[in-house]
Amino acid sequence: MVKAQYTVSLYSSQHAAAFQEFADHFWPREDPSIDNSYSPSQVTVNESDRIENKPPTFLFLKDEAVIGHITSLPVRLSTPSAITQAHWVVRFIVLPEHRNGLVGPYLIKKVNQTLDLAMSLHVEEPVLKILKGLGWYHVGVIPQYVHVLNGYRLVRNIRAQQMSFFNQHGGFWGRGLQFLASKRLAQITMGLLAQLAVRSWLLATTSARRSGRALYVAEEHEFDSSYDSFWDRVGMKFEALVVRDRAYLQARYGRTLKHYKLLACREKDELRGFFILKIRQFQDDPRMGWLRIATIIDCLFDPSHPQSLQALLSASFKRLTGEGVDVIFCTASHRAVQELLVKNAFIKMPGNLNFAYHDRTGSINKHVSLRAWHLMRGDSDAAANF
Amino acid sequence: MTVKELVGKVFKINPQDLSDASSRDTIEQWDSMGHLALITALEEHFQVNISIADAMEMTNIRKIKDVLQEYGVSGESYSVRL
Repeated sequence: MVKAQYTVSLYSSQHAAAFQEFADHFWPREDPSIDNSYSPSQVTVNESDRIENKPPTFLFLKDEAVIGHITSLPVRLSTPSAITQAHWVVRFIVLPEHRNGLVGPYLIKKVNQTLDLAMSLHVEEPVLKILKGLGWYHVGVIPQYVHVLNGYRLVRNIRAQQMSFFNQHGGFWGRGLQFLASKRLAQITMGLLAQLAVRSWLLATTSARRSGRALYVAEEHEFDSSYDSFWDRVGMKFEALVVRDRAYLQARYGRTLKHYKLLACREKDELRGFFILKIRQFQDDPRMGWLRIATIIDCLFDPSHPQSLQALLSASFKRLTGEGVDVIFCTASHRAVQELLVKNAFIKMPGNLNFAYHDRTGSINKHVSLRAWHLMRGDSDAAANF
Repeated sequence: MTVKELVGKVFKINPQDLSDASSRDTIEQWDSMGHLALITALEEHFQVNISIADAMEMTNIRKIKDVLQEYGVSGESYSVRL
């Protein structure tokens, strides 16, 4: 019997056909819900001649077929001492019949040999186990925050999908809660109570949110040169983050900016901070029902003058309410963003986004805590599905 | 050390509880990283360099023995290299 040949390779044009078959299986090009905007792995056969200039994509091949895949996104990592070339490791996918085997570990071994500084944001526990087992440093799980804009719609949408849990595990009170949530009057009451709680909290913290500065927030549609100046002013004030200059923002969001909302905060025309928001309308989703959800996926601010964050968040509330958004999510590691969210009636939820890195350059100080890193879902491609 | 003893050591199982049919389906600890740890232990102990293709074939103790035979490591018992 002829043995199958297994190899781990960097993508080259000879793999184009096999790769296309694999890519079509996992990322159907007609599916608009999948954000492929920043994926060098999204290569068509016609583009294969240009692949040699793209960042490394790692393939695990069984004979001629691709059975495992990782690609990378080049970024620059900024720390107070230096700016270092780095890569996000993304789209770590193994065919189901080959999971729990050697495909994943061999791919990561190849990544470790190829990339000097690799970073990962991922939710899957088996991935974390492989990374840690192969020398990656797990910095932690980034917390997630949620703010309810429309309590009634939230209660109405989650009742059928989520409340069944209470019926099985919640006993008398759980069944009672499920019963209440099924009644329209109770939905309205619970929604209004949630709304009241949020408004009361915002009112109670109003004085703390007044900055007294002439900051104004407006939606913008391009990253002009002021984004470079702003990065030059504030970038080095962070202990660790991906460089967010104009070139990066243009490459990351520019081509598909129509899918996002860019809110910029300025003071006398000088950029003081920005938010990038993503809105997603769920349609009869098993978990989210028909909720309209916004996510703050990226931002930049001056950590020594974070007043612009408050102006941006207040403007986001107004705009997103106007657009019929029910809930706002934000995944954020930096302490200034976390404090802002809590002050503004965001509820902290258990996070699921793990941050880990493998650093052969010695650029990253392991003593920098997760709360000193500035990481959000816009980093890597962690905003793709949320 | 026999293959069974080595598998037992890697997965922290009594070798007497293992058979040639013991596999990643019957040993809970034999996941992705467990498999890699086993291959590394086999390479170090028997001083061989196992190819990816052969490592992929090693999904139970019988198959591990078969592959090792191809590398010139034969028999049920193996002596510890000093």
